[in-house]
Amino acid sequence: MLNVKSISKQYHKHAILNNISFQIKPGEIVGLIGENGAGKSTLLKIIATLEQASSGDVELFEQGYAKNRKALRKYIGYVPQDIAIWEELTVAENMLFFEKLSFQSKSSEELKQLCLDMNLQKWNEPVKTLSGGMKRKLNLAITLIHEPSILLLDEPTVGIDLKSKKEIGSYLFKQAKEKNRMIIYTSHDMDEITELCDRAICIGEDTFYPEILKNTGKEIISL
Amino acid sequence: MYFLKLVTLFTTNNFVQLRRKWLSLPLLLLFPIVLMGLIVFIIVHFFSNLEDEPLQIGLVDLNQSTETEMIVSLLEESSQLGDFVQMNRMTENEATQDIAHDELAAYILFPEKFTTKLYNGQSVVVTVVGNPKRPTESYFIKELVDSAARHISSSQANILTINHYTKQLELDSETRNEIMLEQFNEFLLYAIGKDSILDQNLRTNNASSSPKQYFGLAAGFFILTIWIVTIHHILFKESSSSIQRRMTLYGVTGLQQTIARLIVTFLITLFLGVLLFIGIIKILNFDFNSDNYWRLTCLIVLYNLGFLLLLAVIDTIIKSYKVRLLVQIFLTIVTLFASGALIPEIYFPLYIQDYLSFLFSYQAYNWLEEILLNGRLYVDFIPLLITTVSGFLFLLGISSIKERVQS
Amino acid sequence: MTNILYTRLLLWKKKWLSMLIWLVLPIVGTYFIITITDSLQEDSKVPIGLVIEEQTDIALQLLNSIQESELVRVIKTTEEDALYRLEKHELDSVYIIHEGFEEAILNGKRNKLLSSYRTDLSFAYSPVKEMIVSLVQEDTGRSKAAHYIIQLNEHYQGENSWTWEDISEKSIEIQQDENLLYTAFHYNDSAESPTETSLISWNTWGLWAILSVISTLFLSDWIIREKALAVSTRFSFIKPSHFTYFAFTICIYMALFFLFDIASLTIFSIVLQEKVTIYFLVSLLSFRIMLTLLAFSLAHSFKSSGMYYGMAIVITLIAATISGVVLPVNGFMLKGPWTEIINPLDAFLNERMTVLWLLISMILVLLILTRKERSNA
Repeated sequence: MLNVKSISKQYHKHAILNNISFQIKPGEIVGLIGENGAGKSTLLKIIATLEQASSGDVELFEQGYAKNRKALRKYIGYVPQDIAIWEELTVAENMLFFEKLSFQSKSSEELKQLCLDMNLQKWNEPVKTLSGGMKRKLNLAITLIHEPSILLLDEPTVGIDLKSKKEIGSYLFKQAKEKNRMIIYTSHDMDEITELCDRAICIGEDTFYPEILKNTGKEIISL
Repeated sequence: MYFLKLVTLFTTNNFVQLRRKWLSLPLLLLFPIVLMGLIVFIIVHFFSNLEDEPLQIGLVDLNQSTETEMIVSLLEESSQLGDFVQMNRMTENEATQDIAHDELAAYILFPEKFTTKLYNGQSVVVTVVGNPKRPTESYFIKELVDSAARHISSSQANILTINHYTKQLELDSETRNEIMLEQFNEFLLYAIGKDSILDQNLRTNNASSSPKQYFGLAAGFFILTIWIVTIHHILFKESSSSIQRRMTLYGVTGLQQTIARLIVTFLITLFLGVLLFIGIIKILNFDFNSDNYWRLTCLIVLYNLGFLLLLAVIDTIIKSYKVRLLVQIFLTIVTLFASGALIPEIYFPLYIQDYLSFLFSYQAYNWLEEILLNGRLYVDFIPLLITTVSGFLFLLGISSIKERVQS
Repeated sequence: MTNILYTRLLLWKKKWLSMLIWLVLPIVGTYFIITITDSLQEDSKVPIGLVIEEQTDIALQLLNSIQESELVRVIKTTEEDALYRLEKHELDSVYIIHEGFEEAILNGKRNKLLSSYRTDLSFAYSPVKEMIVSLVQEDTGRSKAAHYIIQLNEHYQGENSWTWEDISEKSIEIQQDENLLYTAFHYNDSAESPTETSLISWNTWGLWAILSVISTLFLSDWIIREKALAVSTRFSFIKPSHFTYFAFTICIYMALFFLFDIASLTIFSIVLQEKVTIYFLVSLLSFRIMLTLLAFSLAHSFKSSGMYYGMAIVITLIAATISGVVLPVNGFMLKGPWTEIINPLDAFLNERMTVLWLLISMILVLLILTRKERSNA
């Protein structure tokens, strides 16, 4: 259970986020939408403990970030927008690298299976030879090594082919529904949002996105 | 035409880039001046210290005979072994301790039975014990002792010769011993007074008549060289492979970017270099003919170009940034050494001297010396020009080969 | 620890060649600089001008002996030309064998037989002068002895008919047979004499220390590189704390560096006959720890690796200048406790344990790591 309690964030007196509150239950997928610069990434980083809110607090499993920032990290999986993997290493080496440092240890077979589940088969190929879609999959796979309870994804499917997009989408759906994980992710793809999300949270004052989603019957929270 | 247009574009771009670093630029330009100042300070300090505090050398006499006694007191009193040397008699224990406390540069040890062995024609070893903390000075002392030993050993041959012949004269052993001691004295003094063979004269030349100008020129040359490397280094920004690809699409070659960088560095360092040398000429009061200003400028132009072409060739050949930096530093050091600004070329082995005259830094520095120190009104630009042009052709060749390999 | 080591090895594997080049740079660089300057020095001959005013046997013999010397390259010329070339510094020094040289020698005279000319730039004047003087001195001394013996013979009315030539020959013979006075050189702290002392005698470990500074600084650029990569976000979600992760990684680098330090030690002791003591090993270790920690602190304060490399070079140049490795400042200028304060290399170069700068570097790294830890919390 994630509880965001009246979060505000200012950068040099310029307000990015203003009094944002919402809750997410396990197994729920929430889409975060809004125009560029509305503060989606900032909100995601705050929930990921990477940034601190100017005011307000976040609670995960009833533990406040202010006090338990570090202890909570093992429950959090964060997939940054930039592909955060070692370009010079192979897929296997990348997985092993982060497994060694992970909160949870996994065997090589388990790691390989993790990749296969996402249809990422090129186990021994150097990352720099992979396609964009493959890299995105690996980017996600690494985050899942320590089996986080809440998964935060910053535009996980940007710039990749439709097939990979669908594969990642259905994988995320399974993660939420079968493993009871909370998922928050940002995207500009409204079809994807419609298809996957239980709810959509729209930040910013622009009404463009809410207008589009209005007819889909999804629950939209405008903050 | 298109080629030139692109070069101009990148040149302006480089100037803009450099302008953004206006704050750090003066600092970087100041650095070589500070470094040279530091070096000059240390060297001057070294020599003035050498004059104020002569090297302390211990004399340890384990033999304690009349003869060694004599040698030791002679050495102690005279400064015959060198002006920078002060010798003092002491025991071996004292000497060892003084070296440990770094108060002694070395000590000379006369072994037991030194005299007896010398008279009887047995071999004797005089030991110099150096201070490990002062290798250069210890070497200096070893040389002095070696030269003294050469004199003593030729004296010894003469004494033995005298001994050989006096044995054939019918003399009682007391007289003979007396004669030997007297001759030992005689030859010792003779050995120590060796310098009277020479009538020594000191001539003045560039360095001695105007050491400030001599070293000022060398320092200026160093500073200019370091400036060229620094500015060249600042301008070299890695562009990512995606930008590189886009450049290729626009028909931009690596050569154009290299040339643009070369032009910017060249213009800036030429300007700074001319300013620097005019500053040196004014501050150090060179007797400089105003006709020579254009020669000076031309020399700086050619040296700048030659050196920049060298750096550009390295940029083209070596891909790794760090390795390239290392190689460029290494070549900068070689360039400076070869110029003769640091060590005059006559001290290099002949086989190196033969090639030096083909090197741009040697040619440039040599002519700088001629017009600045010797007041000549002539410079032979042809060799330097040939080197620079061939350097440019070489760069063209290397770049086109690289371009072809890449495509 | 093993986990962090494993991840580091994964990264090293991909760039082992470039790492190896930098790791062996101090060893190879030191070795090459020493051997190249040695062979250059051996091959260098000092150009001197020689003017002979008389063509007698003894004068020509002297010329021959000078020409045979390894030290000089003789240019026979006229006085005018020699002095002109001396002033242009094409010659190191000029020697003139005066008219009446042979006669003076035969008469056992020696005052001002030769004239020498030098300038303030005549770096090699002293050894060359010594050599020439000793050659002339041999002749004059021999002549002196011969005259004395003939005189003695007359004084004691001996019936021997010894001639100047006989006695000279005998003296030469004795000198050749019985060259009996030797000199030996060794340093206070070792019984072995250095294989060859020479004018430019590099301090092996000094040179090595300077090259180690640049190689360590260049190899510490991983801090800047990894900080700039997107992958750095992931390090917030790893099990070890920032402090542990960086502290261990620094230790791993330290161990790698020290491994190559030991290799340098072994190679230098075999090839360059450097001596190895336990105390030296300890001072080497303290130097290495300090250098690694300082390099980390420095790299940590940079955002762009280009600027960092530039700074690394500037630092290396300054270190080389003030440490007296290139300039002969040893024992002269930088003495006293304050040198250790301004120069981190000072203690190691004086074969002491690095204590002060080791503490400074440790405090610096501790400050950086705890600050990192807090900002991350």
